[in-house]
Amino acid sequence: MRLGCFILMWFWGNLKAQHDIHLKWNFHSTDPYLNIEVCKFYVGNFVFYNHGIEVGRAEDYFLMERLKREELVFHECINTGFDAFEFQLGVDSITHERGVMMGDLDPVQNMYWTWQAGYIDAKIEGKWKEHPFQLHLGGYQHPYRADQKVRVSCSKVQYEYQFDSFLDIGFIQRLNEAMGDNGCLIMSPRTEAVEWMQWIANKMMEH
Amino acid sequence: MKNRVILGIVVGVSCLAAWNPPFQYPDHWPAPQYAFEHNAIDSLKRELGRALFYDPILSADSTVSCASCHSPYQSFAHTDHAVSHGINDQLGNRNAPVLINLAWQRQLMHDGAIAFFDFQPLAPITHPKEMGEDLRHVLIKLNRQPRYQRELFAIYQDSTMTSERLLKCMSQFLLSLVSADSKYDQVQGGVLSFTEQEQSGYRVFQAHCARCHTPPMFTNYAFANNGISVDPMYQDSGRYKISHQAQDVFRFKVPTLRNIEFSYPYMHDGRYATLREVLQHYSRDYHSNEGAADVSLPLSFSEKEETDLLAFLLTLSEPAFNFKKENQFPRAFFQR
Repeated sequence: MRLGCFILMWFWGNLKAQHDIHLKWNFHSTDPYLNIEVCKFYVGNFVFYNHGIEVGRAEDYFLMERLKREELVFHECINTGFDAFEFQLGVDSITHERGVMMGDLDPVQNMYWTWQAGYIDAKIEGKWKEHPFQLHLGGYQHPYRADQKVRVSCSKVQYEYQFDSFLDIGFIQRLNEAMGDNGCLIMSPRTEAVEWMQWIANKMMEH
Repeated sequence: MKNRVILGIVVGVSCLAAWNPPFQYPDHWPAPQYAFEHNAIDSLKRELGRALFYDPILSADSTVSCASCHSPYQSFAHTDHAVSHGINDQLGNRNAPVLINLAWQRQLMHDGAIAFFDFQPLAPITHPKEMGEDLRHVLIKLNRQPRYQRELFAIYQDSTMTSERLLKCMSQFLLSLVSADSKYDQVQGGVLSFTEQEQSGYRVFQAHCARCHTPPMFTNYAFANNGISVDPMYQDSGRYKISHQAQDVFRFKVPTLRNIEFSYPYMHDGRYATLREVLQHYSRDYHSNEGAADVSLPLSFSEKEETDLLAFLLTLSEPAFNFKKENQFPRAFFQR
């Protein structure tokens, strides 16, 4: 296997298992120079489609975190097959307006900018060849709205299916392009944060 | 004064002092911005929020409460202090604004950094130069306090303090701080009349000030560059720090002028000690920063007009608001 930073997206559904849908994300590095210390992001507003028709949805938000919570299970979300699904990567502005909430959206999760209202959609922190990077990506207002709609098409349309995609997402190359002399820091809503979120969303849609 | 009632619900039994809201405001005021459907007015939650507001337990070393910089006797501003004080005698870089009529504000803080009301207390609680605390640790400390456990149980039938309960109860208290009974309001309601000087000042106000300090809230809630020079120590770029939009350089939120008499010193950094100095800035100074001007300085009013304007501004005061017992330190709660 060549060196790189990989994303694994995996989903699985089974009629016999009461139509549960499992979704899994795993960010994985095989490059010894890349040390990912934090990787967490919000996903939510899941909608499942079959031939373009909505067949199920789950509107909650979930905080996914590398090595801690990489899998979601939707119980009895749909009663048919699906050939595509979409979700929100990051927290949308409507959810922001609902005020303080508990669970994964609780501000104690440290995914909320206290000095500038708004959820942090994704945090990726670590070091690349001893250069630190901290990407705190978020923003809910134009022109720095960072949350993204991700649509994933599935290759099989049937009641039992399994799919996985193990992609070199080119994270290191993207990071190198963004690195300055002191590393790469994004700590507030701005154009670079939007671009990073668009890039991550696009990578999630490639498989 | 004809009042509107949003919603008033009383739940449970509590030992906190009884105070019966409901949320009231004059009929001619616009509708509040706050989404009450997510946090309906509740007198017990409001009282718990009041206790939290006055409790220094929210700060890292239990020395600073919200009331340290927002005194009820000055319409919840910080009289005599140019900028806020935090733990370990640290100074911030902005003046503490009044906390009145907050339900109408779409964005909070001088730069509008906080757009979601319930989250506002997180800013001072976690700011290293203010309370320097961590929300998770605040909850741990509060959950060790029997007095909070008792009140929480009375409200929620569960004694656990959560971030949602903490922040929504604080919102309840802050939202209840409505000041709407100044002389100006009584004149509008036909109860009192302006003096000749106040009436003259009102005309000056309408000609020069009302575009930004729009009645009845006496702010248009916009961000504006009023031409004051940039403090070399703070180098505060204002709204730009949040929006990163060039047109927002040196813009700050237009503050309400209600109870302006009590909220000295003035401007976002508290540079002017008196209202007279503020008016002299507008009448004599030229635009003194590199941001785009939202006010064409100097405004052309005479010394007499300046004095008349000052007389009018004093009609926006509601002294009784500063002494409302229901807004002050809840002594009984902390004695238990």
